[in-house]
Amino acid sequence: MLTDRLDLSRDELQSRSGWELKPEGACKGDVCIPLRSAVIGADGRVDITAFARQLGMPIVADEAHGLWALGPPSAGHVLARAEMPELTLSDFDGAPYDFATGRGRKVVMVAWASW
Amino acid sequence: MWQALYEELAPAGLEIVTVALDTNVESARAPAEAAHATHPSLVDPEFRIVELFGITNVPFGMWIDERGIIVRPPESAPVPPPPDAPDRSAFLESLPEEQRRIIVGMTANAGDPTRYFAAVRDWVANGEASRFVLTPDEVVARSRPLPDAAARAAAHYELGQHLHLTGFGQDAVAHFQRAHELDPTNWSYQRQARALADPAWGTAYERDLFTEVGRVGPETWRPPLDL
Repeated sequence: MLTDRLDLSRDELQSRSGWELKPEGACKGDVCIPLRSAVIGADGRVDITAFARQLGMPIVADEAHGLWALGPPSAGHVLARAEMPELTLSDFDGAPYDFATGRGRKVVMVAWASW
Repeated sequence: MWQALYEELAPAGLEIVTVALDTNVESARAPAEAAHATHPSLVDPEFRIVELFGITNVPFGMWIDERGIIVRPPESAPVPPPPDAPDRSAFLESLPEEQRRIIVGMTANAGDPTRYFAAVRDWVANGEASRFVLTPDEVVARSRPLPDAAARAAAHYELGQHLHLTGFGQDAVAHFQRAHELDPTNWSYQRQARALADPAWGTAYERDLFTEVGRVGPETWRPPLDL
């Protein structure tokens, strides 16, 4: 997730990262991670540094361009569970394809590249 | 080759979804069109599946069952060679020793090139009973480890991609290189980054990719396929 500031509204956080702040913690899909301390400041905005630290997400900066990127929560493995996460990508004409479309069939996802 | 496998197995319930890992979508358009795919043919310029699933090179495959459960995590997905593929042994013999060492290492884990397609056929025929179907715990355990360094690498790569796509290609190189230093065996990062480099920038990368593969470890190019 990229950001050009380290405080975001809750809606901005959710639209950019998929993480929604709820009373039970930071939630994505049906997974919720409890937050040990508040990440929302007095102004109602999310302190991204505190949020990332609690979720174990690294933040890296490009100071010249005024940008930060949050990496995935570091954990044991890339896959925390075997359920296919929500994922929509586009075809070459820009038409979206939701991987949930494949339910009911066996799907082999194949990554390739021109390089 | 994937289209042929799709045509063979679609009547038995297989879907194939190909995803091009190309930051410049146009780079992948011609080869994608040449495949004449009748299955979904997607493009992932942001490398979302690299971060979500841990894809370190191409071609890589991942299996998802009818209920949306991943039953094999990303792994090398070798494609059977065409019947008229040339024998490369004389060519290999002609190479200097160091080059031969690297090429032999890069293909050391290839194994029988028909076995991945054979495993897909077995899954389609036998479903959950296929010996290639893994339990959820096995899927998680076999997926790539994600230490802090790899998570930081993903963040640097995202910054680099954004800078490249917004017209700051030379500024992106430092982030691409940092991603490589932090996660040297994720060749998706290096291969795409180097393909994006403009020759006008001069020597953006200290070593050529082949030499870099030799330095990191040629056998990391294709992780072992444990079927």
